Amino acid sequence: MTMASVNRAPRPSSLADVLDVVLDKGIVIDAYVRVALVGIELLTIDARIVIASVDTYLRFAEAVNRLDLQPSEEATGLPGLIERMQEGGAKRKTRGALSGAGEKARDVMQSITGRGDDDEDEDDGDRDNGRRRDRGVPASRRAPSRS
Amino acid sequence: MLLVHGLLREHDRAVLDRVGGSVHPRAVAAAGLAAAVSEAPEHGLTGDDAVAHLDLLVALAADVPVLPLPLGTTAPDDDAVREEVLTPAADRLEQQLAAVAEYVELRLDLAFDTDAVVAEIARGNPEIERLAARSRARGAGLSERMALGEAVAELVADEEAVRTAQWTAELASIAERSAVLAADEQTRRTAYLVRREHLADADAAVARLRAAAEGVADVEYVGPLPVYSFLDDLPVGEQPTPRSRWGW
Repeated sequence: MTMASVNRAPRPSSLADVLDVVLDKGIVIDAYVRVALVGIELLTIDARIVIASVDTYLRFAEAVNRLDLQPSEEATGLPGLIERMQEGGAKRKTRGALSGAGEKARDVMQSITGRGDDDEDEDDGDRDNGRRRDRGVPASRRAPSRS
Repeated sequence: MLLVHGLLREHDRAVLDRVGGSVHPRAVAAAGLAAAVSEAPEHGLTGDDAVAHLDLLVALAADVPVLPLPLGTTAPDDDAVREEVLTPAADRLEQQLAAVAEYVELRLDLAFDTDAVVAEIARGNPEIERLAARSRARGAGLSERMALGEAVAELVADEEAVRTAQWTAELASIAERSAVLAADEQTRRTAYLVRREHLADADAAVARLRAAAEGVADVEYVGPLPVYSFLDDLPVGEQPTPRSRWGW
């Protein structure tokens, strides 16, 4: 088997990484003078800037909130989103990430269910909107018992 | 003014006539050693000089043992190279050249897709879910978001360390030495001291590593470099059976 395609590079691809290799590493000779490094010190400092913890933490927090976690159950895409929409207004208000598709889903659900009771409608297939629900999003209401 | 790039055994000095690149090195020899030198530019060193310096050392290391010197190491003239660089430390330098003779250095940069890592570790984690809910609650502010981010950052670092150790285990077992050179919230840089004859094995291990990391981390694989990261911890004498001293 040839491994010529393993993509081993002879040296790092970026200048910052080249400098990381050569700038301070190697055999140090006692009697030596370092020649001026034009522009390199500044460049190296730029390359070595450590992202401040604050920025990192906020970025991770944002990444988590984009996930729209829900406690103790996994998000399951649009069906799961729709289920949560039915759970109550107060909980929904705390979920700032819901927008766009989520709002659209809520509108769809309101147009489909459009009522406060939600216990008997599985056997109530001859209601006006029952047919639309069967065609559109029945899985969302049955998801808990399936999973 | 001379730039001193690296040190060789004197009997390997002919290699300097064969290497290409923009440095155009020549040898200054004494005490069984040779220094690869070139004229220092008057204007100081630029990024291009840094690349040319490394390219020269990589080309030398491909053929012969070489001890790299830090970029910008200078000497006033040939005599200074002989008398202040080569001769005073000849014994130590000879030992180090002998120690690196069988080895090259390989490096791996793993650049993680942190969004993918965050998604994996955050889902189903009750503490993260609790902190996430708190950060989104009415009246929550910067401190709640920071608490969430800090907790996530810790888990991300742990996860990336575990993944790195798993993915690089085979390469580490091929290497004589391994080291973590740098680690931040996104990138992990590791180095490996590998016997020249095991380079193909290392390549095969990295090919498998790439497949395992696909979608989670980009892999940059560099080498063979002169030995940079293990100069203070070189194997002493002949090692009949290469063994890993992996550990982080």
